[in-house]
Amino acid sequence: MSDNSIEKTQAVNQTQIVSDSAVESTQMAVSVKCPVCGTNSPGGEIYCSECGFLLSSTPVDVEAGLPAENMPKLVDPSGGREFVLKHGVNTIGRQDTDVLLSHPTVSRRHAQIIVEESRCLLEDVGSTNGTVLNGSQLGQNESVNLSDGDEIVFGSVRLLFEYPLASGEEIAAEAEVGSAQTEEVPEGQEIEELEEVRDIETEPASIPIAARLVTRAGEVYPIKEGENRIGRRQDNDIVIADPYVSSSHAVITAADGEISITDVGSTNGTSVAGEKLAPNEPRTISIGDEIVVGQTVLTLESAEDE
Amino acid sequence: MSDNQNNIPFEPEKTQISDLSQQDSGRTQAFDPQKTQMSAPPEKALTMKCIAGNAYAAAAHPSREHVLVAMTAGGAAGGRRMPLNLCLIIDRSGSMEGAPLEYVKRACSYVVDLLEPNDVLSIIAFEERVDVIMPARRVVNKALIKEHINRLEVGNTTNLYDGIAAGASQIASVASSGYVNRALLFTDGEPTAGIKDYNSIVGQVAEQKSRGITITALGFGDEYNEELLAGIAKRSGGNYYYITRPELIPEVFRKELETLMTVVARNLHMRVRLSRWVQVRQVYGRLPSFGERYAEVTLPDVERGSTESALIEFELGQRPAGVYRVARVELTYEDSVTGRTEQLACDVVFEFTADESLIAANVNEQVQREIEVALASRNLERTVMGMRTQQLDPSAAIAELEKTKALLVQQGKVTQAQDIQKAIDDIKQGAGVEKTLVGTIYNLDRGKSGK
Repeated sequence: MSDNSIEKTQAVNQTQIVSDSAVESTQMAVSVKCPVCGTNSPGGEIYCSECGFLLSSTPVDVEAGLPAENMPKLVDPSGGREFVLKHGVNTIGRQDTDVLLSHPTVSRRHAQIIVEESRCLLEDVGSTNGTVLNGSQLGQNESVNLSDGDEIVFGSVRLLFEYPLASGEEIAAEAEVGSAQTEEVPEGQEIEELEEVRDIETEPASIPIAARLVTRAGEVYPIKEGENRIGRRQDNDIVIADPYVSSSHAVITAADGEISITDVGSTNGTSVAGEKLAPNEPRTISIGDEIVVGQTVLTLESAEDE
Repeated sequence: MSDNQNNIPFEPEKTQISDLSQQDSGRTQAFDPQKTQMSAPPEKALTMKCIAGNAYAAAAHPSREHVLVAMTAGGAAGGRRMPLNLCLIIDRSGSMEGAPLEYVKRACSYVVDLLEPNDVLSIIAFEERVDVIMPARRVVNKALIKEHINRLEVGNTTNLYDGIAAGASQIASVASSGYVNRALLFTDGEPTAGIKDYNSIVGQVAEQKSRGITITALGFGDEYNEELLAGIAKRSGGNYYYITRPELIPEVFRKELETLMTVVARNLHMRVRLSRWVQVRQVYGRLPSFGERYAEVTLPDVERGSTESALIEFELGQRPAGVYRVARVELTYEDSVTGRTEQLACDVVFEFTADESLIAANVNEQVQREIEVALASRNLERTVMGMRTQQLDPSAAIAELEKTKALLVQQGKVTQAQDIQKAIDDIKQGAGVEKTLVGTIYNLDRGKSGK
């Protein structure tokens, strides 16, 4: 340790001296080659214009210190961002994850990519708004192989998977992917604030009924005959803990074999199949319809297939 | 803005390098303004400092390091200020009837008293309909303006979206340079007419911000949507106030106006240019946009004597040992006194070392404190969510708040700690506290200090 600190002091002294001369040589237009990344910087630059290395100093162990070139990564096609993945588990989400995506449609813990010797596996770890690989929604706990050029959408954040050396044999393995139906998420609609919501699992319907509402997170709300009031307040039949859901948001009425939904004057609105409802005008809904209340996406499913 | 000669490009070769013997400043150093700008006055409204969370980073391994960028406005009380181009956007929905509307009128008249003939004022009142009570004009005949104000009457619903649009177009009707542009949005309820959803309203606010119009959001009473108002203020870089009682309305207007009158720098844009193997992981409490080798954030206006800061977390890829500039922070802003666009720049430099003891011994405490505060803000956010969804009962919420309070006291955030104490007392009384706490989160995330 003491040896190191001596070295350090020397390095510091050396740096200062040399940098003074660097300033003097500003007029000389000779380009300087960076000993770390090999980029030529214009003469007079203090730091390498590419990697930032202090050009007047001498690097140590360049070979051993350089990052591995062939690691898989996620690249943001719209900006310059990229996320280099490491061996083992790479968590992806909105909070304290390896790949940090600060976007409201991304869950705190959204998905993970496991980098192994011969393959990379993508898994959705129970996100609210889902993970879509090349247009196909991943099922719960489904694990799929990734290959170079794959497009992955977390919530509504789109990234490309790049792994030039690893393409080829794995491609066949991902043929089974994509049985699940992909549902269009209205852009910017599904703000996901609270995955803790999932902890309040609603009891599955005990009495057989015709239909139920299912959230992306897998919560199930049975629809009973008559009125089903939806809102944030506890006195509703269907309580949705989404801050964008009004206290009294909408009413679903099941009568005479028909189900309809009425927005009762909510702040952030209700939409069915991407179409916004006018307040207080009932609209008939059918199995498979996607309903958005506040920022929560609900799908009307038949409750008879179980 | 049209004054091109002020947009002088950076001259990287004139960048000062950090004095490597000074470890306390974390190897990064304020850029010397006199070396970048030839024609600018020697005294700038702002100074910028980049403080690294550590003087050292790990060589040959990927790591994460924090950097605090602090932008400080000088405290000298100059006599001059830039005139205001102010719009009061007032909710006159039915619920405002009685004392609230009377106090709002008083507050508006008070604003008129505080303004000077160079300032421009417009007044919008909204309910279902949006009325231009007074189009943008100079504050010359104060008595006449007050007469307009006194004619305000309550209506029916709340059309917030169109109210904001009308206010912004009044501000935009006056040339944007040479004024501090600001709309004060006052409301007591949820939007109930026109476009009501969060994304559309905040989207509009973002658009207005890109045109140089900042909105301060003032929420009054128990019924307004604090998420929406804090969202408006945050997206806009304006302030957010929660007004509990009608008699406090004039005081809050006065406070906001005084703040505006001391704005010394506006339209702050920070661009973080990244060296190879460097990514911005997050900028706490803000939503950066990303481009080829850079991340960018818009920052709120800065008042005299105060400091605005941004806490950046970098993802540093592995590299050989040595000294590197990992990023260069560039700030542009408009000086509110001269109207000129100014630029500042600052290098973020780390020494990458294999010696872990050096890393352990050189943690910057100031940055560490800011990280703690950022975490406290996230805790608070979770507590508010937990209360809202009834997952935290009052005693659990109080326990969480006590923890956050202790942390804030430790980090010297006395005002915010007091807010939380007030919230704890309110919970014990059975009162709602979300509006108070959303304001606390807002202030913590802005990282503002001083004054």
